[in-house]
Amino acid sequence: MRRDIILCGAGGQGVVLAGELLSQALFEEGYEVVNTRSYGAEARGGRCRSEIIVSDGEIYDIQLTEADILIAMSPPAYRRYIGRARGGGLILLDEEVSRELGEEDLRGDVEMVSLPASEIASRLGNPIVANMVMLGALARKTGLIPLERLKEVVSRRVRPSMREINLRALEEGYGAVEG
Amino acid sequence: MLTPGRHLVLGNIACAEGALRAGCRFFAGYPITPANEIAQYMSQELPRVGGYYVQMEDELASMAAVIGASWAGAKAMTATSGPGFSLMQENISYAYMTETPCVVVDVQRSGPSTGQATMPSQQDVYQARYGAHGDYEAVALTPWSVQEMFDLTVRAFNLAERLRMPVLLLADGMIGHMSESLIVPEEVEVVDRRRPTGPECTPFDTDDPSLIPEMPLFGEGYELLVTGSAHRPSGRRDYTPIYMERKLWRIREKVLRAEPEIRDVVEYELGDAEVAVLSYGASARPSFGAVRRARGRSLRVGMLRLRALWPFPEEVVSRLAEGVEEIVVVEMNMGKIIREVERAVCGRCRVSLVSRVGGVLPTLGEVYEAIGRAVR
Repeated sequence: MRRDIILCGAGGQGVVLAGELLSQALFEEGYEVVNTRSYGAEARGGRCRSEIIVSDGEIYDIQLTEADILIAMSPPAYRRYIGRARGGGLILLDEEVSRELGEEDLRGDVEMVSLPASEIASRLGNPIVANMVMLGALARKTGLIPLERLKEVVSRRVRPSMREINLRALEEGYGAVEG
Repeated sequence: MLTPGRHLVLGNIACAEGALRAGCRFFAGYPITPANEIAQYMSQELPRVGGYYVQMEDELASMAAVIGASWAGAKAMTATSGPGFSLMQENISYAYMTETPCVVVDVQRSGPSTGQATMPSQQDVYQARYGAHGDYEAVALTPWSVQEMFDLTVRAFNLAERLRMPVLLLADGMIGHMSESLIVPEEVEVVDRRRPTGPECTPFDTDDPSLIPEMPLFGEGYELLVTGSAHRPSGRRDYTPIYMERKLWRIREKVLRAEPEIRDVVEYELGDAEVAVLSYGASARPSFGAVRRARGRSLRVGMLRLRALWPFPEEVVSRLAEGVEEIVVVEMNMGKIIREVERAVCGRCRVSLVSRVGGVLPTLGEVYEAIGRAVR
């Protein structure tokens, strides 16, 4: 088993952090993981991306070219990376992204799942946890990682004042999509 | 510092962690992508273990500070990338001449010049060998994984201390900026430089067959002069050709005598191989994947991976040429180490190149296709 995952969005949306937490959770599940990240020079608003290769065996092809799973959190990031989604793959989108897309942005050969991640995050009290909503949805949709493992890693890694809202965001995301 | 055990860690952090465990207690550097996390981690951790971190005004000063710290007794290092490595060359040359143990990490990025600052390359392999002025032998290690960022950094310190010279860790932006599994051992083997014990010492010559002199430190009471100018065994400046000639042959010969010990190659399925893939660092990862795929399809292919790039393991490659029909060299530059391979092979088998530049690694598929062409 090998899955290639790209998370992309704008700087400040917690894309790199979400990638790190997902990688750590997969790693603790016993998988081999290779995680790389890239970001622009801007602290906020630039393009950023996290790439994760997860496998039950050793990983030799370490530079990811295509993704089985693409999580897109901003329209520019979506447009930049949609071409790298593998046919038959899964695209997880924030509704704020899908609203902006036209017919020409869509692909028929992949499964596109849209969920109101930003809306859920705002309802929980902070739009910044939309990244956790997306991770929760990924857990449900793919079965790749148990929700409990994600919650355990998130509890350990985020600061105490933000713990509760991040855990709720994971749960809400998990509940927002079909398995 | 990390606890012993299995961790998901960035390559650059694994390097810094290895340095701390090898006994590094001094870091001087100047920020550059994609090497920054090494400096960042050292700035956090060194004060906690009684060490020193200094951010210098530039790379020239960084290298100078590292040399000074080493003569004060600290295991010292710096970390940079291509452009910064160029700026360090003058003082790296000084370190060869003054036989100063230290470790220089170059997390190679795509150049020339600013190039693609965040993207990997293996374009500095000759800069590592010939970048500094004058005559010397270089020692450079090339990690292919986060684990080897740790292991080979430890080894770089041990070799630097043992050989009394700068040792280079030639990493790349791919491995430096990637997180994967690192197993931190309970203990690592640590080598310390030989120090004089008697009342007198000769800092720049020795009768020892290793040709590596004992190293006194400033402040120990020995009469000690360290200069980049030609000097007598005592360290006193003297331009008489015989002193300089002997010195240069000795600092070369001390490395060549230790070569069998420095040599570090990993051989895979070469026994019956008709084609051998030769690679190092990040390029060796997809190469190894391609070799395994080819073996799975019963192609007689093996692999030679270089973990110590300099001194080039000429004898190993020469022997390899006797047994195979083609050597496929895979590197993230326009073809550099292939020249060393061709020199060692000397026409006894075919040599071909898989090369990628522009900040990308050769893919497993590309190497597999090259194997297909080589098998014919």
